[in-house]
Amino acid sequence: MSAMPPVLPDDPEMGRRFTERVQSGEQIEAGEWLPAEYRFEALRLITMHANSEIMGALPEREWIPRAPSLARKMALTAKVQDEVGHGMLLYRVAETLGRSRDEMIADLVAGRARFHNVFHYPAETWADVAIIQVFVDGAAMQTQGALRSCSYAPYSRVLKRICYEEDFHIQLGLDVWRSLAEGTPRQRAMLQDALRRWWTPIIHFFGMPDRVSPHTEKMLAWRIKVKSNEELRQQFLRRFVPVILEYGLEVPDPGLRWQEDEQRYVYTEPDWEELKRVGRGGGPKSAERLALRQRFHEQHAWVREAVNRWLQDHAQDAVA
Amino acid sequence: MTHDNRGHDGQPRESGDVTRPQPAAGAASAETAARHDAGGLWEHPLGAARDVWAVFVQGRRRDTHVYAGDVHAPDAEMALVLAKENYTRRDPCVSLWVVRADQIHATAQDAAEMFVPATDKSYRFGGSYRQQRKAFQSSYQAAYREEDQ
Repeated sequence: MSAMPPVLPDDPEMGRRFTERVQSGEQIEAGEWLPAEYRFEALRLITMHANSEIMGALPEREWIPRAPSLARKMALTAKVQDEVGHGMLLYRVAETLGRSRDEMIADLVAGRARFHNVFHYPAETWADVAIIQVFVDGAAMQTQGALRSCSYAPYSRVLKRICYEEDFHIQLGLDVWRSLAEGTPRQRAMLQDALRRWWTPIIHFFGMPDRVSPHTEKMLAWRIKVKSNEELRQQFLRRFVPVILEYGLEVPDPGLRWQEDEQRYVYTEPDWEELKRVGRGGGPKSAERLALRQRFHEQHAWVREAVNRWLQDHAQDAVA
Repeated sequence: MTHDNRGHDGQPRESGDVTRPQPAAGAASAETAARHDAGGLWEHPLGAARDVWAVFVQGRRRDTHVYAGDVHAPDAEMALVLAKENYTRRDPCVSLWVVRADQIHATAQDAAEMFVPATDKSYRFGGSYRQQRKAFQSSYQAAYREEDQ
């Protein structure tokens, strides 16, 4: 047995068999052989998702002390707790691809890692909470729902659990949305204003319409990407434009219309430069939110030190 | 299961090592290992970092404990606290187990063929005997009617 040759990282024959396996719908378990590029891309995707869960908890967290009732406060706290829990699950999945959670979090707080564009924007009013819960989580649900059938089994399993909890977030959001939409004229105006401010970031959320690049094709062939950006955006619009219209609110894009013959929504092209700028950390709240995350990371350093010290002192306790 | 490709010391291993972990003394039976023609070991430790704990949740008293996911914790007590926070927020739970993930051994994913039955296993199922009885009874009844006429 010990005479077995080591597995070459990118043996073309193994790479070909790998691609065949994932294309036939098979999922890959942690610890199985992966092409180096697959590992890199899957790690990038899952780290970005994990970071977004952690940073995405921050805008809503700001509203916990100001929630309008005890019921809303409890539900919002539960939702924020879920998001942080999702981050925990996702960092653990990313670890199976070869980076430690400590390294990923160090990258995040140092501003070296990315998180989703929508979490770089302010949550100015209570109506923003409704928009985040319905539309931001609704947008995330399209992407994550599709990725449940991705080729990396540990990610796929965790996404099932995440989508189950995201459903609660959207239903909670629809309840907040309904109470504002059926409320006083001031509440309706507040909701309409929040929708207007969030529209572009939400359209941005799915990314630029995909060019048919060899890179995208490879991601689709490997099933690290399951649907194109534009497919997911259309799926989102079909599900959520009716929610806006049902309550007599205005879609903030005057150019938005349903194209019957193509079975798709036509929308005004947003400023894609803004998405790039925000993604690089140039959003209105990027610096402030990162600074907050960094401050708490530093405040909690003593806990990590205590845990590491304990692990060192008890190294011999490990059952051999 | 979420074994990762870090060694017990938390240092990344060579990526090629992941499916070919170091053989544990006396672990693989020669027979099964020989049958697994891919040449790798048919079993291996999951190889998680030392602070990773696998969590098992029992939903109701009559249920088995089912693997739910992992937590990072320095010891079992902390692992149970974190498991409660992370895996029992909604669905019913009456009991939790945590076990160090690096203590779990697994059969290799590419050794799955050893679970494929080599022969017809229908004799192990009650259903196949019910089918036989039905076939027997219907032919018996058909014969009986013919004789009756």
